[in-house]
Amino acid sequence: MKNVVLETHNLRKEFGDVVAVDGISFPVYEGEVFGFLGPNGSGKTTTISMALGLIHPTAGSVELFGERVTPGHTAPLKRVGALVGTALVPYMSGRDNLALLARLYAEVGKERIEELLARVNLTHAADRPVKGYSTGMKQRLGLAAALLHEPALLILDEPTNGLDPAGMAEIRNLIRSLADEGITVFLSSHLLHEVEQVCDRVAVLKQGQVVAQGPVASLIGGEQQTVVRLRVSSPAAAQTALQALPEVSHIKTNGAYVEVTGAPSETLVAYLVGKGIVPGEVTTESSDLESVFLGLTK
Amino acid sequence: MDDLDENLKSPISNLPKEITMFLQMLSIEQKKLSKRTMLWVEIGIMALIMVGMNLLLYAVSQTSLSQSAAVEVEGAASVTSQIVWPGSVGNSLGIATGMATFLLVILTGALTAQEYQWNSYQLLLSRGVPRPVVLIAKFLVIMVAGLLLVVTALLAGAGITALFSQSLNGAIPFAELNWGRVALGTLLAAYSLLPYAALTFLLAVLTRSAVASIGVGLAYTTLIESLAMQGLAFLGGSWATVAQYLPAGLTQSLSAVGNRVAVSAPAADLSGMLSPERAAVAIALYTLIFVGLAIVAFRRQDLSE
Repeated sequence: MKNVVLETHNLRKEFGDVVAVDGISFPVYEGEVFGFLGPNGSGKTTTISMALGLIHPTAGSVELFGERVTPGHTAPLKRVGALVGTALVPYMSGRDNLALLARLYAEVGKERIEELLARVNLTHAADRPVKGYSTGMKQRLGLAAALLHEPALLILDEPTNGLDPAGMAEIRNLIRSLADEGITVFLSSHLLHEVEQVCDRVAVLKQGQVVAQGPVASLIGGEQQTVVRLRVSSPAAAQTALQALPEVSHIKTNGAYVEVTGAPSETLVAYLVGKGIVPGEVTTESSDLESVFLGLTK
Repeated sequence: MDDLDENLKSPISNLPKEITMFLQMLSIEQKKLSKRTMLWVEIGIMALIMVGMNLLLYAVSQTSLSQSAAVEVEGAASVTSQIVWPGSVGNSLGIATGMATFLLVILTGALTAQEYQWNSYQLLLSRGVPRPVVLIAKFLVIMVAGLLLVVTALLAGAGITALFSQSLNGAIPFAELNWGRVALGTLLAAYSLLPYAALTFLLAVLTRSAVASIGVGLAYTTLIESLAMQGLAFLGGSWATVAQYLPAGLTQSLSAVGNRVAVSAPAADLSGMLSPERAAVAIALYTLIFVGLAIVAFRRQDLSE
């Protein structure tokens, strides 16, 4: 059994009448890349901010390395590196920003700063003030800052925001290589392709609640997530008929087709034929994380 | 990068963890302040004002001296005493207190509130630095900025008036200055800025806005407090005593002592003022209360983007 590095218990946050996070619980295990998925406004950043002791939970708790974290007790965060937004000192250069933070860590020296600047491909701009950086450059500098003290847990909130496709691929590779080095990574993103490529497990957030969590493979695999497309003469009639099948989880019409998830194609065809509707064409399509996500957060 | 090695290898790691972290935070805040253009602009403004005011007084004294009327010669002598040592040094400290108050209110509001906009508090807090440590380190650095402003005023004022002393009296009378009192006066002038800095600090934390905190801070300093002082003095009796406890009244008490920098200076006339000891304690209380409230508010705040 792997150690739990980060765990939330019924975490809840209200801003006035708005419930931003609604009783969520999930564990993040040592050494894994954990994806935290959700549409904009689903509560991802609020959850991360509570984990980082920046926001007071209304109820519930967050534990890091087995120790509770609150805005008044943030000692466990010394083993965490975080990238949340573009939190930097804008009038200082990229190199000076890293040197500034290095003052918190006796073990971090000039070589480490240069190594990280090179790793995030910012050596050429290291002496320019950060206020002149593009969003992508700020993201990369923020990532370097998060890695400065070789944290045991890396918390990344939308790390590829503002990056071009090449930059996004670089960050993905970097995340994977960090995981290979044994660093636990908590990756919040709405970019499903990115999460699918690098994450071992995910939690999907919708309106402040976790609607699914587990290994990526189990979320996107299996009958439940296979889409069966049936071409029929009357899609509306077929849709109505199929709604009676208990195992069908999602159904929609698409032109001359009915798209169904949750049941195998054989069952669907036999059922429709029994209802006097004979499909002219049947295809199946294994779902990816995107279709799972869309299904869950619709 | 030159200072990086020196700062990173500072031998503070043998101290208890809490003290180490506090010293690290002080070092971070000091570095942030030293890289801040606004500080150097304010120091430049302070120096220019001191030089400009003394040049103006010099011009006035020279114009008056060129007149023949005896009364004007007497007036010119009075002005001249303020632009030559030792009188000019005490005068510089008096001007420094007033000017530095405005400049420090602006600097405090900007240094404290803009970090909310930049999310740079989050940068430190998400690394396990306790919230009170962040704010206390910041306020201590603001105190140093206040001292820098006063020292700048003193150096600029004393520097230009040293030239006037040489020009008008043929010598710079170093022996007429009590250097211990100059040092004490400088510290008292910087100390008397603390309630204003602490008030602006509190406002910046409460409003998270540089404009609001500086605006209210300056309004208090320039208008509200002087109106209150005048109103309370007008009412007389115990109300006038209350006025002595306002920061401006406390500053007057400390200035009366701190600006006596000449060897031959008469004893301070403290009539209608608090004793300097009481004033110093009251300033400490104001500062502790405002900074304490700022810490309480900061600890309760949600710091999201």
